[in-house]
Amino acid sequence: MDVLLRQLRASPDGGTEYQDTELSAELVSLGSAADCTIQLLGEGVEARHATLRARRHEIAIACERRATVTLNGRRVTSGTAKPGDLLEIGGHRLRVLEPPSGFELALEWEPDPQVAPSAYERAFRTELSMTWLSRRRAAWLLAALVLATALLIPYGSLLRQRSGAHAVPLLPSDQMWSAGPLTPAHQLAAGQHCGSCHQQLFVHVRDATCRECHRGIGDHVQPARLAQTQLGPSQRCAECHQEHHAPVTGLVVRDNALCVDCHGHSDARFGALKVRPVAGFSLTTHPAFTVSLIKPANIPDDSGELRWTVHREPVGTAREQSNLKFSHGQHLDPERVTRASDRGALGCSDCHTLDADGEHFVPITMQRSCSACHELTFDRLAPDRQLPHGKPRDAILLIQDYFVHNAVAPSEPASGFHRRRMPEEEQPEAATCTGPALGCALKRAQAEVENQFTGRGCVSCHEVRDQHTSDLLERFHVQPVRLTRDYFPKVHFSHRLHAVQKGKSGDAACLSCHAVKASKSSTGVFIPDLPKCLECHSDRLAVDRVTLQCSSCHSYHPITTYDRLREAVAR
Amino acid sequence: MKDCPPNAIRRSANGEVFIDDTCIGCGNCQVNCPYGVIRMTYEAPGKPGLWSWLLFGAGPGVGEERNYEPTAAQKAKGKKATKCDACGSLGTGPACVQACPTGAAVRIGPDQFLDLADQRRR
Amino acid sequence: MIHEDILRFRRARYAWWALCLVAMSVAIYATQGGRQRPGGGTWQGYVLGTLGALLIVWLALLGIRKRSYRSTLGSVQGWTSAHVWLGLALVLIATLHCAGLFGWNVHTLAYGLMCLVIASGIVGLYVYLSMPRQLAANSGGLSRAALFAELFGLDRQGRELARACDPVVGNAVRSSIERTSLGGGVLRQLLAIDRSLFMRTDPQQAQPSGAALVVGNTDQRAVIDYVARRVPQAAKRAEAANLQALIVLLSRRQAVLRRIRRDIQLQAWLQLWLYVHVPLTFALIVALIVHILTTFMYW
Repeated sequence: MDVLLRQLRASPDGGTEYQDTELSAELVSLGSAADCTIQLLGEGVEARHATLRARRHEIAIACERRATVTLNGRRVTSGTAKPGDLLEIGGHRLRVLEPPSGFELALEWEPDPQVAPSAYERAFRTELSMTWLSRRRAAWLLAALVLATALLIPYGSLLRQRSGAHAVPLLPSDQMWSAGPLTPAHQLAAGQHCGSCHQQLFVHVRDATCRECHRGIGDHVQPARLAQTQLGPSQRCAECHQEHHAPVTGLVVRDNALCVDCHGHSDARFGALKVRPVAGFSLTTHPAFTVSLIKPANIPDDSGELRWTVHREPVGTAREQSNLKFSHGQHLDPERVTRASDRGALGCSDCHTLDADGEHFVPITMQRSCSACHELTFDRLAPDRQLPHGKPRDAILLIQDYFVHNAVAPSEPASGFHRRRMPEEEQPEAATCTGPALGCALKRAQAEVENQFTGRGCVSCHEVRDQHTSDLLERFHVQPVRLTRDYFPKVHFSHRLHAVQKGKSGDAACLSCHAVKASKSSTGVFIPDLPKCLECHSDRLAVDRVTLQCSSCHSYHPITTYDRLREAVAR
Repeated sequence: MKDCPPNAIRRSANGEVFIDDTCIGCGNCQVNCPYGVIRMTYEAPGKPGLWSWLLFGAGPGVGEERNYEPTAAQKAKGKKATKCDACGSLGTGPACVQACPTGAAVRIGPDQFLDLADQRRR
Repeated sequence: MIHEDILRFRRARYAWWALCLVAMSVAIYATQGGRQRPGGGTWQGYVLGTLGALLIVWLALLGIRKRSYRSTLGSVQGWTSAHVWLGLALVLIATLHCAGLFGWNVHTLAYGLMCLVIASGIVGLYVYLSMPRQLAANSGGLSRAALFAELFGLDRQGRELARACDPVVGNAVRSSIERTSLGGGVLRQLLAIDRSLFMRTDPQQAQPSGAALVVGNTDQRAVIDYVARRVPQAAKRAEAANLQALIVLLSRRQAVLRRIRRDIQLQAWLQLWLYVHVPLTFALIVALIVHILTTFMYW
């Protein structure tokens, strides 16, 4: 579109000058911006004010938003103009002229005579505050965004979950408020729904909530006993079991201070309960070990009833009373006892086998541990006849049966072993007995029984009580044997971890703590005391010590009833 | 100072010239001031406070408003003479110095002019 | 020292304060461990968290203090110096408070917002220390208003000279004055983009009808070139003298425009960081409140 623009100006000598300019543009834009086709400066002119488009015989005027033009005295936002019409924008007057040949549009422009320099300056945006940037708007927007994302939407999700509905995917849930990852087991069980554990807002997670799943966990101390102390209520589960720290640290806090807080001041604060104070693991802070031993509670009366109780005695002065006669020193001495199979010395593991829990040993029984070497023969002429390892009555009857059988049916000896009698051998029984065969046999049997129970035989290993009754079957009582299997029922100690220590393994490792080679009797308790453990362990960080905490050996929650039954008694 | 009928314009001990509230708005001081720093102005109308402006953009904000429109009552009171008096009543010195975050605006005495020239030279 | 910069205000007194605060925080942090894992939930974590929260609120109050012109509670320069040093200390205190435990949650959001605020603050500190000197060197001690007054004076002279010239040249010069571009939107201010235009009429050009074209006039070079080309074509000596005077004027105008444009650019960079620093501060304050609230909701 070819446009003729005739600008009217006052000439210096008072007249009016015309200045003609030819423009070529698709669309004539009017405004104060520098890139408008016709730039109009001054008050009331927007940067982009209006556009003019030539149609066949008229001009179409269209205003930009918020702008108005005055067409022939009327304010309009759009319209059409014909030659002769007057368009006023700000203080500028534009008259539409009849376009000469070659032009589609002709305008006569009388500029605003009062354009102040400030209008010129205002056309420029010289500060960031004049642009679309706004700190206030951005601040409100971001604040609202954070509030919605971090508080309102998660709270809505929380309400939904409480009423039973599922969380909406992709929207932030109350996971936004989580303080850190959960341990994997808890994440699986309760991780999707924070309210599983945090059941009430602004309230700590309660112990009852933990017990909804962990039902069998026992208290460290019974509430009735706790009430006798000055300690106040029991600690919360969360004092020691701290979540939301995985995987950096595990669930249980093992710091000694948690235990020492109460146990360090037990003399002052435990009231009626007598517990020795413990402040750490060293000679000055940990009391000497006390072992739990099974001992007979009474001297058996005539009915033979024997009750057993558990005694706690200091290791240094403890004495076992198992009613078994046994000498470790003898059995480990290669000059006195050797293995049947390879003539080597006996080792610890020949009798003591570590149980599956790595802590205790398979109970010692005659069958498992002793019978490989100790036969219960009673007549060297009949090495294949052995006494039953059971009630004394059965053994006595067997002895009687044997001798009676031999006396009554000598051609069918009660032994499968046929041994030629040598002339020099003494056969006292044949020489001295002159009565009937049965009587001699019974006398012989009695002698043997008395030998077994008072000389050599059962009495070699068992404690026997002679009642001095006439009835042979009722005369001898063998004390029941109870071997202590768990000397520290409330402590965990892993023999498996200690099987190799400081370069020693096998028997050398066992003997480094259990000094049994010097023992002569079975009353000895060879459990090491505190100083032995302190040779390798300490409660503080040290270069040459393995650090231990209270929880390395002691358990806060009681070991279960099943464990207790299993470990206390060995048969 | 001589031409002020109520004797509102005075010089303080430190040398600052200040105008107190007894000014009657006659304009003599403005005419006679050799430095042209005295203005005759209307009282400014009240405007929304700092927090409304900060949070909601209400009003022109704190500080002097350039082109304010006085109310009819304020117009009736008439104009009074104003000038910078180095905030003598504030106690801590000129508010502009107190308000400069980078310490660019400082008030120094003539005895420090040489130091300033030295500093500028370096 | 007549002028002290904000880092060395009063012999860097606030740097020493910040150092002491950090040392104290490290000492408090170091007493952790043992019965509770280091983190925000121990008593040491609560102390450090309270300290950090109070610091954040006080740091934000600079916006109030610097607009309280009647206040005598210290000078704004002192407040700004303390704001910078204690703001730097804050990042250490907050890190000690959280013991480096992060995750996709509102607590880390608050920490992240805080880090962004402090980072933008460091940008602002650099800008405040380096740009004022450049501004003074560019403007030669003149204010923006004085530079514009000089420009308008040249514009007025230019219009009068243009009137005395050939209409084609006069139109070109007048349009170059009126269609000068200074500043503009955000990018134009920051990058000193010049989109000046002028209207040229060239009978020899490709427009056979002789129409005027609006063409680019970046840095006023095109219009100066246009006028300069007409000098050898001038028929009379007076006309040539007019054109020479026009060239001198347009060159002076070009120099002033360059100064103003650079001034606008430097001022824009001087303020740009605040458009990040301030909105993020408000987002941080909201996140901080939510952080504290939710910590006690899921206690």
